[in-house]
Parts: sequence; structure tokens; C-alpha cells
Amino acid sequence: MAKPRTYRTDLAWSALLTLAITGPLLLGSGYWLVGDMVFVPHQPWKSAWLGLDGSLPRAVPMDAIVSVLTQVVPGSVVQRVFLVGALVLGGIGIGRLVHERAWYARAAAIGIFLWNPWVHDHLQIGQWAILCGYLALPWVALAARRYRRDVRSGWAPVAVALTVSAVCSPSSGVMAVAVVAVLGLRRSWPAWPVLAVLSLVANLPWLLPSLLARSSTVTTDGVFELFAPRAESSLGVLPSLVTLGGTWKSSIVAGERTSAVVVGLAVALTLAALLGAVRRGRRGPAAEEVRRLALLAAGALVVASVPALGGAGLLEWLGDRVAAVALLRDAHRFLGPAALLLAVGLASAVAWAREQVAPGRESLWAVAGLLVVAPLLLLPSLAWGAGDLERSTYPADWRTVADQIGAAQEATTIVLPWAGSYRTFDWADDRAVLDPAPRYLPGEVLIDDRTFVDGVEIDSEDPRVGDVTLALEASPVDAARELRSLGVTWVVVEQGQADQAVPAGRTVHDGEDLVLLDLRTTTDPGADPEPVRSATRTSHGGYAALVITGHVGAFVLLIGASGRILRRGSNRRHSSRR
Amino acid sequence: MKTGPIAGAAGIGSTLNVIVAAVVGAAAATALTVGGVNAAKGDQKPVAQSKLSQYSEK
Repeated sequence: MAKPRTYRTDLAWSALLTLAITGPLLLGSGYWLVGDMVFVPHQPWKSAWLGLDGSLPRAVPMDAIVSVLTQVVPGSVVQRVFLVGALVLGGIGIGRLVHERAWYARAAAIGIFLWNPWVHDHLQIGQWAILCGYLALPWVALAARRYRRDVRSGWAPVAVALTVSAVCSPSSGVMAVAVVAVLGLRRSWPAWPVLAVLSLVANLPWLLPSLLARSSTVTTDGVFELFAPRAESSLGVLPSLVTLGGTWKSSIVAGERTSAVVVGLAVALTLAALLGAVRRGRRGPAAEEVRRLALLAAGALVVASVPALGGAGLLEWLGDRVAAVALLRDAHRFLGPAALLLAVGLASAVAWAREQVAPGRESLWAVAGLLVVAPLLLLPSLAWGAGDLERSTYPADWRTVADQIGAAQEATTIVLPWAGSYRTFDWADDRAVLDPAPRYLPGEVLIDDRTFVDGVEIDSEDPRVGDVTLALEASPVDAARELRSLGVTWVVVEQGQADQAVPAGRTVHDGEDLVLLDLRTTTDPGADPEPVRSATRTSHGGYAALVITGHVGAFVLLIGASGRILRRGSNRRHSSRR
Repeated sequence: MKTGPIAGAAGIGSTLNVIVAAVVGAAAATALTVGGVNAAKGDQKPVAQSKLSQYSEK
């Protein structure tokens, strides 16, 4: 059992590193809007947040949680709580994983876990929920440790860890299951079926909408190669990967990671951590766990490197036959669990260096110190806003348009320009960001969900996008008529983007940043407004109840398991007082 | 007095300290210099307004 002082030290170091990363966000108002990281002041509730609209559940049920939270507190606060809370808790968690070590060894583990290229890249790419899933991994590993000792007392922590991970993202849920399977399973028979049931129930919220999605298709053509990890420096892709770098998105790679010298020194740090892990894995009570962590890290490295080492074609072939393989599209994210081994190994290496200090060898203190601060020295770009992230504030037009659309019942809105799902707004630091409209505006909001990467188009996963694309190719009056027949009532035009002809409609709002057109009234006196047909997305229909049952199942599991953990903790405290 | 081996051990220890300190210092200085310079060079890529926004852009 770790001492309270242990937690305080780990909390202080984790909080300091978190402050060093997120400082610019905490020192003012506004949002970090970058890549997939989209928070809005108040995210209106939609059935899509639970995966009930038939689309692929990319952020289910995290969007539902954010939507509920932003009814109570502003989205800017929610963003800060998620990022800061996850980073601090992730640091404390990895400290607990090596709680028997001295403070400086734990500091090394916390340092390399929070301060590495994987964290930098996922902040810069805006995959905040996947980052939260990564930061939950130490707690998943701790739960797996208890599960390995005793299934009866360990199932509840595992259930909580799996459910929280699955909430973060589907890939986080899958990674958590892999971590528990590798670290927590024994040969005793109840361990396997219990874990299978827990894994299934915990992941039902995104699993069921994925299996039942009828109106969407998963695109796998060429995506594995497109999203394959890439070399950051002249040393190649493998040195990048073994140092937790190698994201596919070259434009956000930290400047220092393009230097072969820096990546080479990072490889040396990885080797030091591996030597520490080897030493810890030889003997002692933690030996078996370290060997399992090594197996987990090897698996993570293989999954992450396959697309980069000629396996993209094989994955595509598999993806054509098994849709679930599409989950491996962005392989770099699956490198996350390898950080657990590096953290545990580095703590062991620092402890070894300290043990070698003796009269005449005092300088080995410097080795221990260098290992603690090396992750920071090798990635200065992560400091103060993960490089150069700046706060952004939505222009007033967004609130105005949201209020006007919100006044109409069952509105369906399309967002122009119809040119992919990412935008670059001058008020958002001109960075590529997922269009905030579906989260900001009420009602059903259709965007062109094609994704463009390095000039390559990734097809839409929503069949209605093709219908809207065809409608927009017609003249303004015909386009308005076609869109009305598709059930579209509003057109929002985001200014400052690519030019595009807009359908004929009454201009309700004409601002500097947004224009809102009402298609229910036409500007063409000769054209009769046609009756608007419902454009509600093909929902899960009869399966909706099943999808909701999945959410309820996971929620009940989370509450039940949490209650069991709290009861056990309470009983332990009572018995220790007697 | 047999001071030879003790003096020798102290000499070896001193040499080891110097070597370790030099290696650690060099590694830290290299990381600071190369990392710092390259981090400072990391410039933001402006995106033209007329250009299609791509996920791969910064």
C-alpha cells in the first residue's frame, strides 16, 4: 500500500508537468480548437450522441457526456477539466504502478509517460478523448494487477477501468481490453469468461451502434497506407516508433523530432528504460508483470508498425472482409500501451543508477537526474501549449445562428462550403479543425464528411452526403428545390472558406463569419416551395431499444462496480480503526 | 604505510566521476542545444483561404 506522501509527491510532479503543458489554456478564456478537438459553449442534445441515428459511432458516448456536462457548465470549462484532470490522473496512476520506488524514480516514470511524442502528437491532432484513454492506461494496468491476484476482488476495478476507457473512444476500449488480457489473465478458469463478459458489456455503447449502423459504410480503400506511421527524422520510422513518435500527420511533428540527433538520444533513453525493465524482470515480485508489460509493448509496436512496414495492403484486404479491422486505421495510436513498459523500465533504471552511487562514484547521481529530466529535454515543444496551440473564441455569429435555428422545430441544416469535414478559420489560428457546426448548432446538421489527406480523398461514410452533393451541383433555384426535397431547411455558409455557389433561399442572417439561409422561403417568385420531406437520418429503428440497452448495461456495470469498490474501501477503513 | 591501492582507487573514482559527468553533460547539452534550436525553428504553416482544408494540415 503506497503512503499518502507518495501520492502527494506524484500529484505535485504530475500537476507541474500538466501546468507546463496546458498553461496557456488555463490562463485565459476560449478553447483549444485543433484537429478533432472541438468543444462548444453548449452542445445541444441529439440522439446521434448515443449512436441512435444510424451513423458510425466515432465519439459515442463521449459526445453524450460532453453534451450533458455543457448544459451545466460552459464547454470551455469542460475542456479544461478533461485535459487537466486526465493528465494529472494519468501521472498519479503511473506513479502508483511503481509506488514502491523512491520519489525520483517515480518522477522519471511520470515524466516519460506524460511528456513524450505520443502525447504531443495527440494533443496537436486534437484527439483529446483518445489521449484520455491513454492516460487511463496506468489505472487499467493497476486494475489488471488486482485481477491477476484475485478475480473476486479484481473484477470491479477492471469493470470500471474498461468502461471508462470505452467511454473515451472505441480504440481506447479495445486497448484497455488488451492491457487487462495481457497483464491480468491467469490460467484459472473464471478469469477468462469474467473478463470476456466485462469487456463486452463495457464496450456495448459503441459496439452495438457500430454493428447496427445501416446507413453508413466504413471506408478502407488506401486508408491504412495514408494513416501509416511515418519517419520523423532521417533515422527512419522504427526509431520514431520505439520512442513513441511517428504520427502519420507530419505537419504537426515537433521541430526537434525532425533531428536525427534528438531521435537518436531518445532511442538511447528507450534503451535505458528497456535495460531497467530487463533488470526488474529478472527477479522479485514484479518480474512477471514486467515480462507481461514487455509482451504488451511488443504487441503495440507490431500493430503500430505493420502499416509502415509494408502491411498496409494486407490490412486493407482484411478490412474489406472484416469491417472491425478499420479500427486499426490510425495505427500510431495503438502504440500507447508501450509507454507503460518505458515508464516502469525508466523508474527501474533510475533506481539502479542511484544504487550505484558510492564514494568515488558520486557523479552517477547525475545519470539518475538526467534520466528523470531527459523526456523534457528531448521534447521542449510540448511545453506551454504543446508547441503553439492558441486559444480561440467563437465569433458572435455562431451564437446568433444557433439561436435562430434553435427556434425552429426539427430543423435539418447543411453547412457550406461542401468541401470536406475540416475547416481553417482565421479566428481559430488558421489550423485544420473539424467543422464545429454539428456540435454547435441544434437539430440535425449535415456536413460533407469526406476527409482530405495530402490531396487524397477519403470517401464519405454517410450515403446522404452523395444526395446533397448532387443537389448542390444544380443551379441555385434547383439546388434549393432538391435540398428541400431531401428535407433540408437551413443552409449555413461559413465565410472565409473555399468559394461555392449557394442555393436560393431567404437570407436570415448575413454576418462576417456565418450566413444563414432559410430554404422554406425561396427567392425565386416563379418557384413553388415544395413540401419538405422528413430528412431524419435512417435511424436504428427497431434496434434503438437494443442500442439504449447497451448504454444502460455499461452504465449499470460502471455504477455497480464503483459501488463495490467504495464499499470495500469503506469496510477496510472501518476494520483498520478497530 | 600501504597507501598505494587506496590512492589508486580514489584516482579511479575521480576519473570515473569526470567521465560520467562529461558524458552526462554532453548528452544534456546536445539535447538542449539541438532540441531547443529545432523546436524554435518549428514554424506554423499558414493555410491559404482559397485552399481546400485538409486533415493533414497543421
